[in-house]
Amino acid sequence: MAKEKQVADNNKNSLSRFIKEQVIPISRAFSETPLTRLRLKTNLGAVTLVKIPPAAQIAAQAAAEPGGAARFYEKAPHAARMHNPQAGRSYDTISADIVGVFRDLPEPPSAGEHLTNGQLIGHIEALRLRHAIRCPVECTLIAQVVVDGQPVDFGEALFVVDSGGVPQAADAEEELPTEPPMMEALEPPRL
Amino acid sequence: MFGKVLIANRGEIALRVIRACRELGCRTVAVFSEADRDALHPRMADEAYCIGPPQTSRSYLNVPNIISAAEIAGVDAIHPGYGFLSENAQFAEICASHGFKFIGPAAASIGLMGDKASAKQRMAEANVPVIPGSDIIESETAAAKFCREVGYPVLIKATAGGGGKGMRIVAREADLGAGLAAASGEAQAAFNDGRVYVEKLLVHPRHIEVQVLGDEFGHIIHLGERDCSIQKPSHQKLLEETPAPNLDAGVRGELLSAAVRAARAVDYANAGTLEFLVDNDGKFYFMEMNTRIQVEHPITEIVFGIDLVKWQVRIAAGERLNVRQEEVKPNGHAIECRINAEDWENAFRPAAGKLGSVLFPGGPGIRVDSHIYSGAEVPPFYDSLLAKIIAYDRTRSDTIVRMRRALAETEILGVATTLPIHERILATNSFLEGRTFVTWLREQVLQPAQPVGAAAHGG
Repeated sequence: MAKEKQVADNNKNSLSRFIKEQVIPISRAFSETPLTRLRLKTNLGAVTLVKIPPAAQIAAQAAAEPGGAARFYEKAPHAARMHNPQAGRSYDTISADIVGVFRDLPEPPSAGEHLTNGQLIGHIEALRLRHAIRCPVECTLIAQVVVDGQPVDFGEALFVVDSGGVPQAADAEEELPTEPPMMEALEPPRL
Repeated sequence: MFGKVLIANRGEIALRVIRACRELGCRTVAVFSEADRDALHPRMADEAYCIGPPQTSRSYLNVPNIISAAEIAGVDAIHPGYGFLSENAQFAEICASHGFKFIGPAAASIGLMGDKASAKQRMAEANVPVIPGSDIIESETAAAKFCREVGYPVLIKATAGGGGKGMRIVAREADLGAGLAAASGEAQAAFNDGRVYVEKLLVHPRHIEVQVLGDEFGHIIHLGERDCSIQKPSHQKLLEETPAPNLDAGVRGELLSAAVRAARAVDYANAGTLEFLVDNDGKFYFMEMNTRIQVEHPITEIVFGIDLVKWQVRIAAGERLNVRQEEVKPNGHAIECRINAEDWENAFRPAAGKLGSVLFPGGPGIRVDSHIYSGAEVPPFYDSLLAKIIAYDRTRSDTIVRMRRALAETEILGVATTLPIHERILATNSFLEGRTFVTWLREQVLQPAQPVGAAAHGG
C-alpha cells in the first residue's frame, strides 16, 4: 500500500515536473510556429498540443491547399465570434459524432453565451437527414470552429467551450514515463 | 474513367487500391478510424475522412458514415477492398442507390454466391462439381446407399450444425450406424434438432483456387490457379503460390474451364475467385466463390502480367476487358508469404503494439505490399496482416531460394510475426516437393511428431 502510494506520488511529481519543465516552455515556442498540432514525448511523459486557430485562418489555409478550398463552401469571419480565452486555461471541445455537413442554427449561439446541458447548438446533415448537435454539459461557449456548410469528419471539433477549467482530456495522453529521454515530432513518413 | 474513388478499407489493400487509382489518373479518398490516424492510407490518399472510433462496427463497417464521406468528397465510385464490406450485397445496393458505383460485381452476384446453399445449387446446375452431400438422413439404409455411391470416408454433419458439434467421420460401412446415432444424439442435445446429413470427406485435399475476371459485357477469362493449401489450423491462408505444383495438366484445364463456367452461371463481372478442394485422384469440388479481390492477388498479377486492381476499376467504369483468353499466358512462378503480427508458437495469437525497426527486402524478383513502417502502431482492432512478401522467378525452386533470401533480409521488430514459421515452411521437404494439403501445416510442421489422421472439410 505504502509503496503504491509512493509510486503514485512520484508519478504525480514527475507529471507536474513534466508540465513545468517541458510542456510550458514548448507550448510557448509552439504558439509562435505555424504548426497546428504537435505531439511530444519525453522520458517523463507524452502530450499532444493542438492549436485551435480562428476559423477565418482555417478557411484561408484550406483555400491555399490544393483541393482544400472545396471543403469550405463559405468563409465566415469567425474570429469575430471568438471569446477572449484566458491565457493558460484549457477548454473542452464538442466534436462531431457522425460524418456530414455542419449547419448553423438560424440564430447560432454567440461566443461568451452560457449553454445549458442538452441545448441545441447546430446540426450535421448526413444522408439527407439532419442530426441535432446538443451541448453535453453546462458551459460557456468560447468559439465555434466550423462554418455553416463545412464538411466534418468523425471526431472533428465543432465548438470550443469552457465547462469550468476541466483539462482537455481527449488530447492529454496518460503515458507512464517509460520512454528513453528524447523529444521528437512523431510523424510517419509522408507519401 | 472515374474522377474520384473512395477506398472503404485500411491497411495494405487500401494502399494497393490508391496506387492503382493513381496510375489510372483517379483522385483518391481514404476513410480511417481514430486508431488509424497515423496510418499510411490517409496520408497517401488525396483526401481523408475520419469515419469513427476504432471498433470496426463503428468505423470501417459504419455504412452511414462511409456514404456520408463519399457524398462530402463527391466521389464517383467506392472500392471496398477485401474483408469489411466487400462481400456485403446490401452495401453494394446502398452505394448504387446513392449514385456511387460499387467497384465489384453486381449485388445480385454477391448475394447469390454469399449464400452457401444457393451457390452450391447454382454451381451444380452449371455442371461444376460440388462436394457430394446427401439429403437429410431418414434411415441407415438410405445413408449406406449414399455412402456406397460417393465412397468412404464420409462426414456426418448436423443440419443445425456449427462448432464441430454433431459431426462424425466414418471410415467404413460397419461404423455407419453407430456414427449416425452418435451424431444425431449430439446434435439433438446441442441444437435440439437431431437431423443429420452425410457428405463425402476428402482426405488431405489441396485448396486450389482460380482467379477470374469478367467485364460488364459478358466477357470472362480466367487467370490461372493459386495453390493456397498452406493454412493455419484456423484455415486462414499463410502462403500461396502459382502455378500449383504437381497439378496434372488435364486436371488444371478442367479446373480452369469449370471456374469460367461457374462465373458465367452467375453473370459475374469484375474480379473474383472460385475456391476448390482437389483430392489425391485429381477430382475437384467447388467450395465457395469470393466475390472480391483477394489478399493473394499479387502472385497472379506477376505471373500473368495483369494488374487486377486496375482492371477492377476499369471494368466498373464500364470499360471492356480487351484481353482474350489466348492472350494471357503464365510466365514463371510466384510465392506470397503473409507476414502477420501473430505469435505462431502460441496458436497464432494476434500481437499488437508499437513496431520498432521495419526493414523490407528488395532486389530482383521481390514485391512487398505493406502499410507498416518503423515506429508505427499495430492496433489490436483489425486484421493482423502486416506485409505480403512476394517472390518470383522463372522456376519454382528458384522462387523458393529467392523467398528464403528475402525473408532473411526482412526485419520487423516490436511484435511477434509469422516470419519464423515461413522460414520453417520453406525448409520442409514435403513443401519443396510440392506435396502439401490443407492440414499440412498443422500435421507436418507445427506438430510433426504426432500426425492427425483426419482431413479438413469444405469451407
